[in-house]
Amino acid sequence: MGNEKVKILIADDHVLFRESIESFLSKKDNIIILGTASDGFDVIKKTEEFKPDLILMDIRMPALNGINATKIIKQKFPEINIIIISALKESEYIIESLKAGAKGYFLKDSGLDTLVPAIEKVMNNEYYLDEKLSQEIIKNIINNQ
Amino acid sequence: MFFNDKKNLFSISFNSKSKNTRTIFHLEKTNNEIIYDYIIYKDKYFIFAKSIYVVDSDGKIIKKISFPSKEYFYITCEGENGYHHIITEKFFYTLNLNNYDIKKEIPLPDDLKDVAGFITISRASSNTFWLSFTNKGLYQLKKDEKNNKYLLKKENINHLIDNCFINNIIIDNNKLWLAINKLGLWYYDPETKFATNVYLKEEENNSIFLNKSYILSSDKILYLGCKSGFFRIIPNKSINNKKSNLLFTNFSFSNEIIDYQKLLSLKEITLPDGVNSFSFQCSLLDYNNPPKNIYKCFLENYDTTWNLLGNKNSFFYSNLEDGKYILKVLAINANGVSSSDTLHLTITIPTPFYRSWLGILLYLIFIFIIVYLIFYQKQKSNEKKLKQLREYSKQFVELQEKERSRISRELHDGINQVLSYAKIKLNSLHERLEKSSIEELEKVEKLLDDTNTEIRRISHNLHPIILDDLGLQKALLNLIRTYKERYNIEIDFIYENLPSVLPKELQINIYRIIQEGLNNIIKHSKANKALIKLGKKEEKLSILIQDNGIGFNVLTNEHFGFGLKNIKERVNFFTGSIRIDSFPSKGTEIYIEIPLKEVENGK
Repeated sequence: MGNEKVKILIADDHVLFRESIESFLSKKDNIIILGTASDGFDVIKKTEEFKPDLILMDIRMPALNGINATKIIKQKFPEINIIIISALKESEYIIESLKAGAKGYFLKDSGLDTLVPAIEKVMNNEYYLDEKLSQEIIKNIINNQ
Repeated sequence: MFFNDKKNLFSISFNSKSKNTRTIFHLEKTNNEIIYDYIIYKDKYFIFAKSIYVVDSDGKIIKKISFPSKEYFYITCEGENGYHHIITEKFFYTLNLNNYDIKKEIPLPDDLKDVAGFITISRASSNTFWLSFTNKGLYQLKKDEKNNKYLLKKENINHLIDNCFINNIIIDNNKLWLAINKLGLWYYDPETKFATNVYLKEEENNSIFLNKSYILSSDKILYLGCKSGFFRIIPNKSINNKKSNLLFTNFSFSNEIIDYQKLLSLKEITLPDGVNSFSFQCSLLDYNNPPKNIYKCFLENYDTTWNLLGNKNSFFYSNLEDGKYILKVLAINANGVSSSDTLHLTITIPTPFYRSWLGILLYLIFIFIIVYLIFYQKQKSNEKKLKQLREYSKQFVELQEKERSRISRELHDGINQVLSYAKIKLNSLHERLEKSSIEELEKVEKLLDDTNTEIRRISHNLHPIILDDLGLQKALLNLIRTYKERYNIEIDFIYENLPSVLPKELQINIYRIIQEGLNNIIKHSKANKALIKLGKKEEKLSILIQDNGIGFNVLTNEHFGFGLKNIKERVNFFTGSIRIDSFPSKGTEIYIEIPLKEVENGK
């Protein structure tokens, strides 16, 4: 990850999450929170404005959902990494998110502690998937054969 | 004169003109017999009782003549050249007074046979007789010279006389005097068929006439015997034999009146369309005693007998069928002399338009159009109602889906987010707590997880938010995967050629249709394989739901009840069609087509 700090944009329509993630991450030395967005269009606008290294993106947001926002951002800024943070566990969401260009899928009810390793992993150009989700994905692979 | 003495013997006392002596016969052999009649012929006495007895001037029975048939009642009438006629309730006989030969001439017709009561007979000429039977009016009995046979014919006079018994028929040249109880005396001309009531005094008119009790003297004075005495009539004195003219004075129909001038030359008339009634007035130009002129009329093709108008000189006919009629009018003056001519007028009543072929055809066409319009209107209104009903139903389901979607989102995006947040917060406590407390914390975390899962389940059942987020294909993929995982059934899913964007309401309905279809398969079919296929064919979205289960009888099975009904209803929202093929033990196939254009236009 080098010495440079990771510049992060947080997108979630839920103010509690936005704030708790923001306050949690801003304490970390190697992370700078550039800003927060509350819907899909907002996050696109702020991405153009702030040019973050990484976006933490909720799926269910008003106006434009996180997956579609991810698609748009990745087209314009392929270098920006995106981690989905969602409470949705269905494999279709995961697959769609990954197809859209997200590099990680983080479950909201996992502890925030695992968020920092996730960010590190993605910034290291690896994929991150919440541990609980591997079961879902495996089932999906088997059943869709 | 005859009389019946108290010893039940019958006697005759006779005043012989030639001998001027009084002879009494005692006919002991005729005990208890009623003597109906008697005559004297060549010094012999013919006594008509149960048998006919021929008695000589000494009272000795020379001959007893029995009737060929059993008869109880009869009356006799003098014939010509030594013949005598006898009429019984069964036959008309001729008796040869010279050789006592009795000959059956004709039997009486059935309606006269065995008439209980009376018979009258009078001879008009050598071969013509006039008769009357109880309540039967006047009859003419005439010998046909060609075949030497008698013919009995009813003489229709008028409804009064035709149902009466005529006590006495008095022949006056070619005309008849009819003495009828209660009806009085009538003068009848068989030639004109015209009967005139001779105006007697009231008490005479009501008299009871005695049978055979009359004399028409040579000076044409009629003496009639009745219970209250006898009276004397001088008929010819008042009869004027001059014939007068009869003519129409008025003929009217609807509002039109044809006057006397025109009527003089009018022989034929056609009534206007739709008119089926007319009235007329006529007048006999006989001024001797005009109020006593009597009229009668007959409408050929309508009347069966002449209408006796009496002193009225007008009459009307109404509600006549279309056709040709001939009106005939006759009149007779106070003396019984008929008019010089019978009036004739041909009247044509045209076929009314509504009964003509064209009329009937138009009428039928009209009815057909009305019926068609009613049916068309009804069908249209039914269609409209059905459409409306479908629209209501659709709106209701849409509203329901919308509401469910809203609640689902509230649960998912609201409560679940809060729970997730709570969990994150609890998680952050881990570092700060002692080991013993951490166990408690984990229990709470587990509780939160379970709650979260439960809410997610409820939320998903209410509304698949995945449909909103990822679209129909992914939502169905998820749905089918869930069924596969949960029920261990192999489900193939094919989704091809469909437009990337489908209206939201169509999406949710397709989702529900397939969900319902899968539910049916799981609940009833016992299948281990199923196929869900969505495609597009000629601007139509097609859905195929197939299984290899036990199937059911489409006609009789109510198994699928609600589920299938629900599917059908949803298909109807989009004016789609549905076909269900299923046979016991051969699986089930539901094929649905929904026109896409209409869905888009409807949007």
